[in-house]
Order: sequence, then structure tokens, then C-alpha cells
Amino acid sequence: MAGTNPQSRDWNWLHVVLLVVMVGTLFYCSWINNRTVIRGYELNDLRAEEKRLLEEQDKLQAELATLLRPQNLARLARKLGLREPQAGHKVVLP
Amino acid sequence: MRRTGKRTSKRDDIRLRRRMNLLAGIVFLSLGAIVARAYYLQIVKHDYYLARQQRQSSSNLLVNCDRGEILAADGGALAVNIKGHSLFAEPRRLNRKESRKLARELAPILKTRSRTLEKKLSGRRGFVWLKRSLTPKQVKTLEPWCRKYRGLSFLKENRRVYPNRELAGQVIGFTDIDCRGLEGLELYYDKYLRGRRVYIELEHDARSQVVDSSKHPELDRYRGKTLYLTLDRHLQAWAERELEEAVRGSRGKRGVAVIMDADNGAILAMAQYPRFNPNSKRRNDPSLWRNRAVTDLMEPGSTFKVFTLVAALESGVYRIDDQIDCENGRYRVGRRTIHDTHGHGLLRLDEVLKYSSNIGCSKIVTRVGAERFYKVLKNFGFGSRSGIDFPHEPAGRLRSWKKWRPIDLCNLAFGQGVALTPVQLVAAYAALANGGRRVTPHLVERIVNSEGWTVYEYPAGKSTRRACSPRVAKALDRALAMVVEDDGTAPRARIPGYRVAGKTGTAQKFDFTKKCYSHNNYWASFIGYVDPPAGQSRKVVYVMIDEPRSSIYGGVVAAPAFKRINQRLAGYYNYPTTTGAASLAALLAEEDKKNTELAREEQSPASDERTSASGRHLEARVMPDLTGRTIREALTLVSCYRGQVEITGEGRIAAQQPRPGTRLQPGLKFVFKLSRDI
Repeated sequence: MAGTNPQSRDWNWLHVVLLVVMVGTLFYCSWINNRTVIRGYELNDLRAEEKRLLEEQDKLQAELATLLRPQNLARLARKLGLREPQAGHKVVLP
Repeated sequence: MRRTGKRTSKRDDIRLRRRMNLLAGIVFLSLGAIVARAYYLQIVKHDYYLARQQRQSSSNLLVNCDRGEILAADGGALAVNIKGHSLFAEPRRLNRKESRKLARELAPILKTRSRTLEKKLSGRRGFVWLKRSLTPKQVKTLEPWCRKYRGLSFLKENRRVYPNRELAGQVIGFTDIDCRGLEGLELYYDKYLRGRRVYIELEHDARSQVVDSSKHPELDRYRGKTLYLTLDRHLQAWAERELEEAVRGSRGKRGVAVIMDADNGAILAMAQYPRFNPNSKRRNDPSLWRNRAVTDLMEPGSTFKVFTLVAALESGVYRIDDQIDCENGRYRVGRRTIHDTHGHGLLRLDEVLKYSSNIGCSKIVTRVGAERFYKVLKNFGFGSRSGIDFPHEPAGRLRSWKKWRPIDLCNLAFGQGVALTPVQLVAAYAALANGGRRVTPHLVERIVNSEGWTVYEYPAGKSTRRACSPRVAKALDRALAMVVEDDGTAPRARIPGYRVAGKTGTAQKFDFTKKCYSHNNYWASFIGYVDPPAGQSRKVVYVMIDEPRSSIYGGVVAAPAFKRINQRLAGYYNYPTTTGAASLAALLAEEDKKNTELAREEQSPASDERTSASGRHLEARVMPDLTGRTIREALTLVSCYRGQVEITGEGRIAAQQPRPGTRLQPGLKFVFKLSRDI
């Protein structure tokens, strides 16, 4: 190959570079695709978690509303010995 | 050799170059083929393959967006959604042995019969519900089965929940299992509350796993709208409690109580007893689902007499101080005799209302005439729907005046022969209370969409439709205030320190089997209002007990409940007493005196002496001996000193700090230890 034409040597290099670029691009594309899929799964998991937490929050809010319903508060107040003030029974504390 | 070697090398070189060129040609041809194919697939067949890819890697799912919430005026949640689990099976994936085993094992957990389950599981269907809306405990128990069998799984669904349970149960109504409104406001406003059904796109991988759900439209945008009601949870709870007490106390069948803002028709409370919990609707008798304040017609009885007087004054036939001969309790109209509970002689028009004279009203209306009376009743909206935003409201029953016989006219004058719903009566009284303007009762104040924009709001401002003139409304307001006087029909409705106006009603129920008025079954009612401070609107309160047994009179069974509701209302809206703060102690004492022995003790002359003695001590800046006093007394006495107050225990004052006789200075700390043993 010592006597190979310099022009043909450049031509060979070009082939190699093109091949590397092509293979590199293929790898890069598949890597990007792979990452996108993995991120998609992660995103989905996080969304599911967010949804679950929001559902939990809804449940807790409903439970809070049940606990704070006027009848329940009145029952607890009676249990603690409190009485509802009648009209005019209000005394302004100093 | 040398020449031969050179020739050979040159030949090899040429051969190599040819091979290289051939290889390059093949590579370029292959690349060209690839490019051509790529061009064909990507450009020429682009749409076809894109559609095919989308079909394979994505799917559309139909989603029911969340139903809107129902909130009270104070923002408290009355109806909300939570996610619940439902159990379904895919019988195609189960063999017969598995189906039988599952049916046997799941039946006790799902509280159904194993035969029913087996029937569901034995088919070849792809999907079948086994149980919807499971309890959290059931979900936990069933989880191992779902892991074990491929054909058994949970699905999360929206569940409608009413956190306040029975509170305004009949008003709010309920939905079916698919969150579609079936009763009450849930039904009336279903088109606003219901979330839209939208398709969402899911992206799958080769194993059909969802990769990315980011292509969802903003689902929150399509959720149902939120209703803000006029109902106040606290007033509603009080009304329900007082009504329950009144119905139980009178051994009645049921009861209705309504509180309405007279200025704009906003319903602040709409209570009913027996109550109904929409969370467990199946466990309740369906007759309890009905909101009787809106759907049931009844005869108003004496509460209707006020409209007879409106007709008398509005027509100009009578003035309020004109006198009517009430014939000492017996008056013949044709072949029928009208009776009064107590015989009366000459009564002024306002006294006719005060003593609730049937004869007085009959005579008034006879002179006013049927046509004029009918016109007045129509002006108040009787015989037609009130327009309340609630389903199944009937139009009241009021026959044309042309069909009235003289006795019919007399009966109408005291509330017989006319049928209306409680809410229609309350709306009519609201017109009297606000100076003669007709109002439309309403339960929803505004509707807000998922983005926070108000899409509907009940029009603010006062109605211009007139039911009667302000002059007549004012005259009748004074007449209604006389009803609660000592010799009126409802002294029990009086609230010390407040001006109360109202009217009792005791209406006989019609016995449809005997086709005559019953002598045993009555509607006992009281309707009225308490005067608020300037700037606040009157709140009309109506209490009705159906078939009371302890007494049949509205002034006896319904008036006390009216009084208690109004007492709370006055406290809630902070109505000042009419007599001013100076007589507050006296008013409280009067109340206590009537109710408890404890208060009688407080109001004894000795106690009064002690209180005034304490006052003198305070004036002299010396701490009085407050042992044995109530904390209220003590606080009233020491309130002039801007000091801290610490209270421990309960009952009466057992120990105090500063000690009696200590010189008082501003900023002092008062400590009161209370004990029940004093």
C-alpha cells in the first residue's frame, strides 16, 4: 500500500469518517430514543404519584369537612361542657 | 524478474482499485436504495405509516371528568368527589373451577350471594362488574385475590360524598353510582355539575404499557362547575336541631323549617325532620328523599289570614282601626257555621289577626269581594310556582274566583281551600317583611366554572315586582307584632329584647278516605321574623309540625321552635336588643328565671342586693367578694377594668384573685376558680 495514490488515501479516510458519523448518529438517536422512553416512564410514575396524592388530599378534605360539620362541633362542645351563647349573652372580655 | 515483478504489482494495484470501486459502488447503491426507501416511507407514504404507528402505539380512552362540587354559603363542602375502588372481572380469563372458587370466597367479602357471583363469573364476557364503590377495608382484603387471578381487578371511579351527612340531605339530593343527579339540587343543576366526557390519548410501548400520558388535554378544564349555595351550614344545623326537638316534643309525624332572607329570597336554611343521609340513600325510606318544603302542598290555615287583611287594606274597603263584630265565636254562612276558638265581640282589624278570628276574616273578605281578594292572592304568587331552583315544585292550588261559593270565600279567608308549599308561603311573607316586594326564593347564589370564572350569579338588587304597597306592609307588620303579645295566640314566640312579628297556623288536614277535614290530624305552624338592626334584612322563619299529638296549636308546638331558631339567629347576626345594653342583665335574668332554678336564685332580691353591692365595691375600686356568683356576673362586673382574666374549672366561683377588699388598679389580673359544688 506504500505506493497508494494520496488521493485514494484521502478517499478512504472520508469513508471511515462517514461511517463513524453514521454509526455515531445511529447510536445517538437510539440513545436519545431510549432516554425518552425511560423519562416517559418516570414522568408517568410521577404523574401517577401526583394523582394518588391528589386523591388522598380529596379524601382528607372530605374527612375534614365531616369532622368540622356543625353537628359534630356542637356535640364535642357539649362534651367539653360548653354552652351555646344565647342572644345577648355575649360579654366582651377586658 | 524485476520487470515481471513491476508488472505484477501494477496489475494488483489495478485489481484492488477495481475492487474498491466495486465495493464503493455497492455501498453507494445500497445507500441509494436505503435513501430511496426512506424517501418512499417518509415522504410518499408518510400519512399512511403515521396513522398506522399511531394506531399501534397509542390508544384513546374515554374519561368522565369530575363532577362539580356543591358548597355552602360559608364555603363548607356539602357534596364532593373522592376516588373509590370498584371490582371487576374478566370471565374469559377464568376457567370454570376458578370461577366457582372465586364466587365462594368473594361472596362474604362483597356481601352478596355466591350464586349471583358465580353466574356473573361463569359467562364468556370480557368485562363484568362484581361490586362498585368498595370500602377501603374491602379493597385491602381483596388485594391478594387480584394479584392471584389475572381476570380480577380494581378500577378507580369517582364517588359522590356528602361530608355533612344528614345536613340539608333532602335539599342537596344525591346522584346515582355513575355520578348523575337523581334528586334535589344534584338533579336540578345536573347539566352544570356534570363533568364532560372527553377522550384522552395514551402512548404505549411494545408491551402495551403506557409510556407517556402527557398528551392528556387539561382534564380540569372539563370538570363540572361548582355551585355556591345560599344555605348557611350553621343556620341549617340549628334549624334541623330545633325542628327535631319540636317534632319529638310534640310527638309529631314530621316537620319543616325554612329560613329566608326577605330582601332577596335567598334560602338560608331548609330543614326537615326526619332527616336523610344521602351517603346511604338505599338504607333510607324513599319517602324521606323528598324535600317537602318545596314539593308538598298543604293548607296554610291561619297563617293565610294576613293576606285577607292585605286585601282589606289594599282595596281600601277597610282601615286598620275599623272594627268587625266577631259574633262571640259563631257565625252562619248559608247552611254552614264558622267557629272561633274563643268568642270575641268587636275587634279591630289588627286584633282579628292577633286573636286569629275566623269569623272576623270571613266578614272582611265577604265585604272585600272575591275578585279583589283573588287579585291580591295572585299578586303574592299563590296558585303558581314560586320559581325556586329546585325540581318538582308544584304550582299551588287556587281556583278561579269565579268558581268560589260564599262559603269557599270565607274558608279561603282563614286558609282553607287553598294549597301551597311551605316555600311559597315563606316567599309571600318575605314580601310583607320587605315592604311589599315579591321575591323569588333561590338556593344557588352563583355557579363557578373550573377556571374560577363565575358563569351565573343570582341577580343582585331588589325586585321591582310589587305584591302590596309599603303602607299596607307596614300596617300588617304592626298587626303581626301583636300576635306575640301576652293575650295573642303566640306569646311563646316572643323573644325578650327583640321585636318579633309573626302568625300562628293550625290547619286541619283533609282526610281523603272520609272526604272531609280530619278532626285528629293538623298542620301546626308559625311564621314570622325578628327585627334586625338597621341595614340588615329581615329573615323570615317558618316552622311547621305535621300531625302533632301533644297539642294541635301552632302557637304551642311551632312557636317555641321559632323562638329558639330566632334566638340563635339574633346571636349569629349579632342583633342588638331593642331595650339597649342597660337592661341586658334584666333580660337575661328574666330568661333564666323562666327556665332554671339556678337563675331564679340569681334573680332573688338578695342576689340583686349582692350584685349592686358588688357594683358599689367596684366603683370604690375595691375587689368585691364574688364567691358563689356566676362567671357571667363576675365578668360583667370586672369588665370596666382592662385587666387579664383567667378562668379555670366549671360551675360557680369558688375562689378569686385578687382577694375581696383588695384595692383595684388598671391592668390587674383576675383569676376565677370555678366549682360545681358551690
